[in-house]
Amino acid sequence: MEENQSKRFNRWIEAKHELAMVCRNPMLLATILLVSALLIVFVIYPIFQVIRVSLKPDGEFSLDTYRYLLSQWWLRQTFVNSVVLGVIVATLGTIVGFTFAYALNRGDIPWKKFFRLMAQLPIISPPFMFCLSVILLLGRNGIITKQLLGLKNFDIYGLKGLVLVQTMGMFPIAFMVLDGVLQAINPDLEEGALNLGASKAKVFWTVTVPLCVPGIASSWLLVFVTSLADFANPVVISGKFDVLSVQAYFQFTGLYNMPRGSAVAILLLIPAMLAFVIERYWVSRKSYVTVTGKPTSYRIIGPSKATKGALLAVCGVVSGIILLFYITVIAGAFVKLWGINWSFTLDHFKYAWDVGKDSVRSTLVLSAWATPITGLLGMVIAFLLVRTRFPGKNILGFTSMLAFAVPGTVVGIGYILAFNQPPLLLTGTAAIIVLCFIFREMPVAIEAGVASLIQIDPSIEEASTNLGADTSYTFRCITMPLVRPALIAGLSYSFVRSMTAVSAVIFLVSARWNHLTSLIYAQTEIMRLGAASVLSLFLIIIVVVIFGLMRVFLGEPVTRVRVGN
Amino acid sequence: MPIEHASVVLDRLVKVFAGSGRDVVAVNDVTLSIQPGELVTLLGPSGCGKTTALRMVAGFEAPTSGKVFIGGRDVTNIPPNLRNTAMVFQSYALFPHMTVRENIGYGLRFRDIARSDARQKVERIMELVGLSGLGDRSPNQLSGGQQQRVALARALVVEPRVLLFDEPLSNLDAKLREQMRGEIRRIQKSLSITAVYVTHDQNEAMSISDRVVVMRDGQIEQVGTPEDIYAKPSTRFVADFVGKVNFVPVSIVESGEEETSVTIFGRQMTIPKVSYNPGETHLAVVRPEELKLIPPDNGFVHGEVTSRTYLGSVVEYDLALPGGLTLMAIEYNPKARPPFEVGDVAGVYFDLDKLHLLKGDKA
Ligand SMILES: Nc1ncnc2c1ncn2[C@@H]1O[C@H](COP(=O)(O)OP(=O)(O)OP(=O)(O)O)[C@@H](O)[C@H]1O
Ligand SMILES: [Mg+2]
Repeated sequence: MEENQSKRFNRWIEAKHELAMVCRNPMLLATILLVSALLIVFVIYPIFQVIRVSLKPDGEFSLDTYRYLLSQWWLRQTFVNSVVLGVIVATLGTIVGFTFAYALNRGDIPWKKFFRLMAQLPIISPPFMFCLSVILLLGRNGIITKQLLGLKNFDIYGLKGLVLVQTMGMFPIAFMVLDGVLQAINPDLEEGALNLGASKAKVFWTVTVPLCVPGIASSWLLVFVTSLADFANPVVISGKFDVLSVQAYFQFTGLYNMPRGSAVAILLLIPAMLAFVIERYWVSRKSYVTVTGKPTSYRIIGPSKATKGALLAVCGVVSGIILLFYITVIAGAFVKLWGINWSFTLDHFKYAWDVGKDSVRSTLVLSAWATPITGLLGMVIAFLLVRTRFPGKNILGFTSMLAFAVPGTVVGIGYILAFNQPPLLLTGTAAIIVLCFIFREMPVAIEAGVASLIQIDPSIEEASTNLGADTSYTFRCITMPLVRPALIAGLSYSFVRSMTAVSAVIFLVSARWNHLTSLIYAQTEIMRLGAASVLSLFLIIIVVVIFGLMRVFLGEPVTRVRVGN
Repeated sequence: MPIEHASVVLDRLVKVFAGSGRDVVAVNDVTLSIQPGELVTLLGPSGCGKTTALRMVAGFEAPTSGKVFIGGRDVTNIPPNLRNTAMVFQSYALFPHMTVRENIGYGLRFRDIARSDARQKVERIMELVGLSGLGDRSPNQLSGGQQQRVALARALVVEPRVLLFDEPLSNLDAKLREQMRGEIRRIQKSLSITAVYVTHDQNEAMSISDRVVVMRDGQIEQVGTPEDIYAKPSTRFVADFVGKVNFVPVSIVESGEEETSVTIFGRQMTIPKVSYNPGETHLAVVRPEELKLIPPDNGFVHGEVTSRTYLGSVVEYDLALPGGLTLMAIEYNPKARPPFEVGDVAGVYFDLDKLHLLKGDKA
């Protein structure tokens, strides 16, 4: 009891001293205050607004909205649908992701480079693209369903279509997590077990899989959150299978029922937050894999022929589907009227350019603003989190990562509610979209920054301070050059995300500041699939070109600077 | 190069780290006064708080309580970049994206120095530490010893009021370590810069310092010249830490005007007067090289040689005494034919005139 008290007392003293240290450093203090203020205004406050509006439908506190939601079976069903979809996609996505990761790291299969590319391609693919292809392939006028199989009443809309596109689109998340895990597991462990006489299957089930369990759990939860928050796919292809993100959107923008839209958004927020917190504070702490930084000697225990064949088959089929999606969209861009008139045309390009050139321009402008700010701010926050001590740091860290967990729909609604009146009247401006991009994409920039900062000997920065540089000079002239690769990775990522954002931005676009994705959505809705295909191609081309340019001008993001001695 | 000599005073410094499990008192009420131009080492085992104390002088850690004075001025609340201390880090902490010359010149950017003067200073200091001609290399094109010199030069060039070293030589091999410590001492003396030097290597501490501060569990055990620390340790811990040692129990019988009569190994003997009371037993610090092995009948006591280790310049003997005590003796300039083999019985003798008794540690 007494010891507890003295501990608390010391913690209090420690906090006081941290505060004193920070106060001695006005630049640092100002940065911390500024970052905190930004996070409060652009992360916390919008979410708070969503909660407030859902609880105060008529300005008075009341639970009526929630009571209504729970009393309507179709709304209850929406919730169930979202969760069911999330569970299915998380499970399938993790299985596919694991298969790819295992095949590429332990499988001894051919065409590794190609499969790795295929497992990453969906991440930079524009939203709507996969469901566009699925409609072109399997829809009412689908080339497979109608032309090849002659099916009349086949309906891809609904759960099965959603599971297909989401699994294809989201398994890369699981792949990336598990690829990292498998790379970090020392093959010596597996080889050791093999030496001890275990069979290959036994080694897999008793050594490899248990070591991957935390990674598998992480992947599952991350894919689950992503599926739950997905808006682009369900809005196009969910049919009668209603999900929360789409329902919130229609309640809010279609029916102008703000309290109900907000309440549905909150229903979406709760499971997403739950999964996020479990992942972050429980699963990821259980990881057995430590990254030693030493490249493991690369000996592979070759799997049996049958296993190899199975791995190759799964990777082949999945990659084939992804390629087919791409080919279909490209074809769709050149075909006059899909399923009816197959003649070649460039009309869609002309039309798409006419309706889309403003959107292309504004999308580029918005992303060009958001990208560097995101990268820089992310790095500043990473620096604060890794290199400084101040009271409330953990809260700041949690808040800055919150955007990972909060579905875009919630953010979009939050921004509309939060910034529709002075002094922060931002609706309809470019600023609201740019800000939304910045705070949604920052977590990745922060993570990249944190990961690279913890590898850099802190005494390098201390040496700079010790010789007379203040914190901001040290940050600019020492820290930034050393974390450059991470910065570039953060920039590339946030650029792609800005270009392909949908779920939040769809609430925020205006006639003047439209986004390509929202235009693609509009074209898909009115079934101008050809134009939608062309716009998707525009998006892919822009992303690839700018990615390439960034590589050329900023350097490779992957190469690590050798730091310290 | 004229450098302003500054004193350094640590006044009742305390640093508590609030850990997740239990708080760590890294530095516990340390008071120390360092004269201008003096080189003082903080010596102690791992985790005793040396680095933490040094970092509080640099300003990287804020003391939980207590004050730091540099040149008579209270700097406790001055941020590290304005303290004008210069630290040589264990990892060297060179800037990997800058050349040797840029590394060394870095600190001059923050001082009011014309560019041409700065360039000259850098060249001069590179010559002083023996780096001439390496200015355009990048740090990772240098050997460990050269990197060490860059770190030293980078600290020296800003003409700091205090030089701080945190185990600067621990990444070098033994030979280079000896050479570098000699050079550090030479440069520090020639510029007469005040310096605080952290190490856990007693040889390094002995050879380089004006005074040695032995620390244990965040507290100072003893402060003194290397000779004092070695010959007159104030505690058993210090005696043990700064070299090999035998502790011989000495019982005080009675004190006369100039001599005290005592019993050692059950024999009554007289030693120069000590101020302890009759009836008390204290431990005498007898270094192995003070212990002479002689034919069994002549010594204070005799024991059996249990091991004999030939090390080239010295031979080490371990002896088991009848009462269960063990002693260690070192013979310099060993003769070709050793006087004692394992299993032989040898007499033990040492000079009683210089016997040092520990104060607190009553046997
Ligand atoms: N930032 C910190 N947070 C918590 N505890 C710390 C921190 N820095 C040091 N300590 C603790 O304070 C104590 C003293 O550490 P310090 O680094 O000063 O030891 P040291 O004497 O330099 O040891 P070494 O010879 O191993 O470098 C240790 O128990 C250490 O674990
Ligand atoms: Mg240390």
